[in-house]
Amino acid sequence: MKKILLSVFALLTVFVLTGCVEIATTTTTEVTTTTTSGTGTTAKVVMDLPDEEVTILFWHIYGSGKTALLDKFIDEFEAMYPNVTIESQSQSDYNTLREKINTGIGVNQVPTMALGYPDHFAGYVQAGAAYSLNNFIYSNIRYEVMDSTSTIAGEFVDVSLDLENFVPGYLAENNQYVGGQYYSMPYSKSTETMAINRTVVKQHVAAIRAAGIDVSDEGFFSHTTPLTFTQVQTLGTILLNDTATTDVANFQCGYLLNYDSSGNMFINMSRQFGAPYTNSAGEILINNDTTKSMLNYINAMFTSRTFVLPNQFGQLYGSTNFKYGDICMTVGSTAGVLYNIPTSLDVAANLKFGIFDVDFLQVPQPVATSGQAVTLSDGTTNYNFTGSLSSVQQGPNIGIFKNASTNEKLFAWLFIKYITSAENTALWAMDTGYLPVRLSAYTSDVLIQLTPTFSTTYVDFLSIATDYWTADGDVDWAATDERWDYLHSSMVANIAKNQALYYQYDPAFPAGSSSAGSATIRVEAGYCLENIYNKSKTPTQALAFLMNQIDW
Amino acid sequence: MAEVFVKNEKSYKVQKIISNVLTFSFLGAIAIVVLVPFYWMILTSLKSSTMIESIPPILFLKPSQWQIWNYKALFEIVESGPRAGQPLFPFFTYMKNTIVISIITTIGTSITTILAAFAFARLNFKGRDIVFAIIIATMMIPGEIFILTNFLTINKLGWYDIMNQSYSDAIFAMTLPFMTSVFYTFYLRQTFKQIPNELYYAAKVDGTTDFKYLLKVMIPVAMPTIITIIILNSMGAWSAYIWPAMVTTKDQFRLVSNGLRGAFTDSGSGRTDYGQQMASAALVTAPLLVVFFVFRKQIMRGVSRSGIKG
Amino acid sequence: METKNNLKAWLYLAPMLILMIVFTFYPLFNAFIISFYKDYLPLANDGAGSITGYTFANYSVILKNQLFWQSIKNTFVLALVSVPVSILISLFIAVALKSIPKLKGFFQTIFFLPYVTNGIAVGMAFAVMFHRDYGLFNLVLSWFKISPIDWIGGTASWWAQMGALMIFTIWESLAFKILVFTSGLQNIDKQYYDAAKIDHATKWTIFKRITVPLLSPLILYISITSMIGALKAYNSVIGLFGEKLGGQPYSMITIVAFVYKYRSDFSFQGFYSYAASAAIILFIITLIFSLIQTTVSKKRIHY
Repeated sequence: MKKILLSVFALLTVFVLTGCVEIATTTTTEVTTTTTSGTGTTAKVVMDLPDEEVTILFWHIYGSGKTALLDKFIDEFEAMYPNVTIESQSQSDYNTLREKINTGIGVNQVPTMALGYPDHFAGYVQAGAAYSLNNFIYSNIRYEVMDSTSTIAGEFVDVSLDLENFVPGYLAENNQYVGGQYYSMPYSKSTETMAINRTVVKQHVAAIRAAGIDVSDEGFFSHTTPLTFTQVQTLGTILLNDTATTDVANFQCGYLLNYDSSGNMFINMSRQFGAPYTNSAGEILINNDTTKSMLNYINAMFTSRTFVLPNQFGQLYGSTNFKYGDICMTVGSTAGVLYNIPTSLDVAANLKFGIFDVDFLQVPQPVATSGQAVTLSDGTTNYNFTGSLSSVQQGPNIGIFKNASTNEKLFAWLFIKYITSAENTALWAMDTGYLPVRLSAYTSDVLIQLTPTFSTTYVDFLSIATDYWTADGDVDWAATDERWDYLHSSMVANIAKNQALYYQYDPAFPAGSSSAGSATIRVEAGYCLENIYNKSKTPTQALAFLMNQIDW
Repeated sequence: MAEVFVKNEKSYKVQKIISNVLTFSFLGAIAIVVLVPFYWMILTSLKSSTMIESIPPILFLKPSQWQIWNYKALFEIVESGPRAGQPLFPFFTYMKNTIVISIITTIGTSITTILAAFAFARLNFKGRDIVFAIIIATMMIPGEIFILTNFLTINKLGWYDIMNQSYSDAIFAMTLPFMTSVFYTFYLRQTFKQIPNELYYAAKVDGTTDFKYLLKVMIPVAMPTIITIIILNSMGAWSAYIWPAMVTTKDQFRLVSNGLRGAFTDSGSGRTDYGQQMASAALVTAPLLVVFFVFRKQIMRGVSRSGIKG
Repeated sequence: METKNNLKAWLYLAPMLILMIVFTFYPLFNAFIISFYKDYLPLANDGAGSITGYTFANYSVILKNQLFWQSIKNTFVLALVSVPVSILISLFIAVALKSIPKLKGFFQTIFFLPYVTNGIAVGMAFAVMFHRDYGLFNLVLSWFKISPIDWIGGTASWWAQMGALMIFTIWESLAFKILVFTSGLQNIDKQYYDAAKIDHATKWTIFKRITVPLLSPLILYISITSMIGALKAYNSVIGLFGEKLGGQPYSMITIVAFVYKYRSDFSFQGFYSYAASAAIILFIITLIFSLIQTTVSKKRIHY
């Protein structure tokens, strides 16, 4: 056997020395730059809508249980355009979806349209496979629907899209690619908000006011002005117990502020503290003094239990321990709001504060207005930064591929327009916990049926929380009023709306030959904070390790 | 196992009892260790997510506390909308595909494995050992590194057409690369090698052909191993994930593990409901257990038949 | 006779070889060559791929990564402990099973169960059982007044994590080994044992002198394949620790997990080459292990 294995070894060595396969040795990355004028004022050209049979292949990751609403949109769309069939297919998960499209690009096997994160589209753009949506957005064509079986027969359909109508932060993310063109449109967007244990806060109202922080009698902080990190630290002195265990009698927690996503924490704080992170060219700028200073500050906050990561509790999210009363505040995705609310379904013995009241706030910021200098202190060391307001926006976008036929692309685009229309984005938002992508959704007066007995407009939906806040938690709704069911979703929707003014995104780019892509960098940046949290690495070591993983 | 000297019949009996007690406690202890995670899986599948994270852990659940919903969810029917009347989670479609894939790969693997193991164990030919070693060496590379190349091969063979992939295309793409197994060829070869050479030469003298000898002698004698291989191999389809997801274009062609992975993960917040996930895993495993219990007797019968006289 | 046999043998091998040439040897050979490509873009030129030359640099990229040595250390410790331990335990179990004709079937069924389960679900069950706060292991420890250990969390020591991983690995691998050894024992002629009994040999002597030598082809098979399997450990790490691959990021990374770090970016410039070179390094390590194993066991194996 030994001889045999040795000979395999020898054989392979021969492969190394002689093995060459004919392969074209040229690399050409084709970059399409279709120039389109950005003026929407040109006169409309009216044409008949193409009526040939068209099949649109739409790839996403929504499992069979999650597509009910999407199926409804598809059904309605097919009724509007009877010649169109939309084949909606889940490709299991985002990694598989991305891998299949990336592989498919090489062999001409790509769908008409697909869901994807910005870094996915950056890869498709680099490979020359994504179709610039500018061709549609600024089009001056207006189609007349001629098919008499259509539900909109005789109506006119504009190809162009009014961008003014969209949340600006989302648009910026979707035209960050080469040439500033739109290669995707925002679809399922979410942000992070902060849940806070109001029952605990309420017990300390006097002390909090004495420390100079605005708080209502019932323990509500401002919902329009975010807390600053200095204020968070002050709250720590009031709400934190001396040991890492919750003190129920004194209404104090063991840990103050949890960040669910360490990756978001790193990236968003980099922006808040003016620390260079990456740029759209795919350059990694993380190794700088401001980042080092930021990591030292975060490290000090970890040590003082002001900041905490879910890892502390062996969890992926902080919501469980927030409900248990181990944590007083937690920053997490708007799509996971309800996980933070203690209910009678929880094992009662675990809820140290029982079923307490939860309020939602904007995520803490270093400064009140962007560009201000700020000095943060951990008691012994001062950290100086130029602060900016920043909150993350996340969630997949939707785009079209070049390979599809002209008509396929056209109807795929009309479908994107349809599912992101003001009503549909509002409906999608209320149904899924995502946020509307259009500003007009916030003022839309279309009634949306949420349950068989409850319908609301998005404006009314938002007013559920504002009414509650205005009344300082004392609203005159009946106990059976269905508004209660939407109270927390509405709170988060309001907070997200207020935060939308300073949504930021991190540049998306695919992996290069000697550096990682934006998605990997985000993960590794999160690990950097975890290593600091675990004390398995010092901030300096953690940063060095981060650089080792993403830049070589 | 301590060294005890046997002196007479009586002390032999005593010793036998002691050794029996030791043996049973040893086996019993291991059995508990083996069973506890199972118990925990089933227990977890009956818990809600808040029960799973309860401190201290809940060790027992009364039937009234069982979260049967975790199981029911798999068979829920869409109530309204365009897909009304269809199952929310196409459990039976996934199951059917998995069984089809499982049967096809198992038949294919059994044939290639038996033929190859016979050649390696019994036939003398030039380069036998080197070919065997090269084949063994392929086990030393993580298979996922082959995915991209194999995907391109499947595409060239025309089985991955995203607009028009047929069910048979998908079946070919999912099964063909998995119709061989080095692991089982090696196993069967070792078993074949245990069969005394004398039987082979006797058969040769009688004028039996190699193939007849393989069918009439080797396969029956090695039946326990072959059945083991069949059972183990048929389970492969139950955990296959990446490849089936890569080479199928439609959800209705995929396998249970593909369905399970995403079905109970909240696409918005990315959280997985452990209780539901465990329930679906248990439900998916159930058919395997049934198959196993059915075949267990076969194994035993095969084992008792295979006593070879040297 | 010889030439005839030659042709016939290749016919027997043909079904397996043809499939393997297409789906194993070709991609393997491909991966090998790819590990020396410079700036490889696998899907450029309509799937033909493009390179700018040949280089050893992909290997140095791999070796420069701090995680490479961490993954080597983890993989070696895991393989060198879990393989012998699980082989010994399963041998003892198989022998014990043979000595109790009565409940044999019952125990055999139990021991086989781990093989019939979904790997993802078992990994999750173990992760829950190892949890510091709500896990079963620490609950049991608390009955013996032992304070809770963080097995797989952020504060877990390297040894605690490795211990958890080993327990899980051994648990998972027992079923198949017991099955192989029990069916192997069935094939050992009763005469040997009867003869030993007449000689009043002790159980240990019987085990050492009869059972192990007669099972040696299967023991060799099991030890080679489990060593290869253990050196390729990946799913168990994912099952127990999730994508982070450890209580602390990457603390339990294995060589295959390290290969996978580059896998998801396959289609981007150079990444396939990185993954391929890491896989080739794993291959060479495994080959060396197998050589040592066969050399050491050569004298003891009775074909």
